[in-house]
Amino acid sequence: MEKFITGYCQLQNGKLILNSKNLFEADIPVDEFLNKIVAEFEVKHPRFGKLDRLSKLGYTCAEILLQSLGNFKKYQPYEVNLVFANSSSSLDTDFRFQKTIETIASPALFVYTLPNIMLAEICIKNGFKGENLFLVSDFPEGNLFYEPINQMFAQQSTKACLAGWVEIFGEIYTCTLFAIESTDNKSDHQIEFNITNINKLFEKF
Amino acid sequence: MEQLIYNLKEQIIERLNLSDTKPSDIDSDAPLFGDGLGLDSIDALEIIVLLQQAYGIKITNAEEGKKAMKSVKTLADYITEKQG
Repeated sequence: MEKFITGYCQLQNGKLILNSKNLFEADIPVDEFLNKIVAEFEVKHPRFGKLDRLSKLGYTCAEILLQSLGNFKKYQPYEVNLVFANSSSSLDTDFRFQKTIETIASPALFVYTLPNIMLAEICIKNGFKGENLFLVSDFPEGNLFYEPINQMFAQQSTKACLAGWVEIFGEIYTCTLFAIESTDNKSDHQIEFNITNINKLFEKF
Repeated sequence: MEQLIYNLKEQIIERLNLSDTKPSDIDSDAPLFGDGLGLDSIDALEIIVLLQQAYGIKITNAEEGKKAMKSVKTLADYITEKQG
């Protein structure tokens, strides 16, 4: 079966875009922006306020995308993998944690001083138990994602993958997540999974 | 004691980022962990840090800490006892 990008979601500059459609726009600080999206689009998390900002951004974007891809529920837990990347890892939270060290280190912040925790939040919510990978690179590029995702699909257990770039530092943030599925069923938003098409997603902003 | 309980609720909300919770939402006698406020082990560590920073109290005995952190009321009793 061929692999396709079956949907994508982007959050940047106060805009929420799902499969080319602008769903929400507000020129407000990122924390407020994410809280508004969570309320507006019924993004569920038992303790959203407890997440660090990187996890909030990635989790929110993933949930909006997965809400639009109802068919992801058909996959078994070990059939869905995650491949995420950014350039500053968990630096936004690392700086906040560093400030707490001046007095008493915050355990709740410490647990978020790794970007992988964002993947864990998404996996726990959706019951994904496949492989997950977090990469650190200077720029979002198609080839960064293409090879590891291809290798994952080469294993017969992989049927779908959630991938993309999630970056936040202070008020500067950008998130582009996309879903890859091996399927014969065509959908409206489906495009071929290749380096050129991944790069096009990153260029859309 | 009532003022201490209110202050504790405000401090717990702020420290644990319980953004959707108001002090009035927290039952002073309800369990902090499990069925009550639903806090977890990391929250317990944050409460220990809170006691140290805001009240200068260090919990050094695990059993004592377990009893103190049953509810907001038991926490207030513990602080009063230690500061007394």
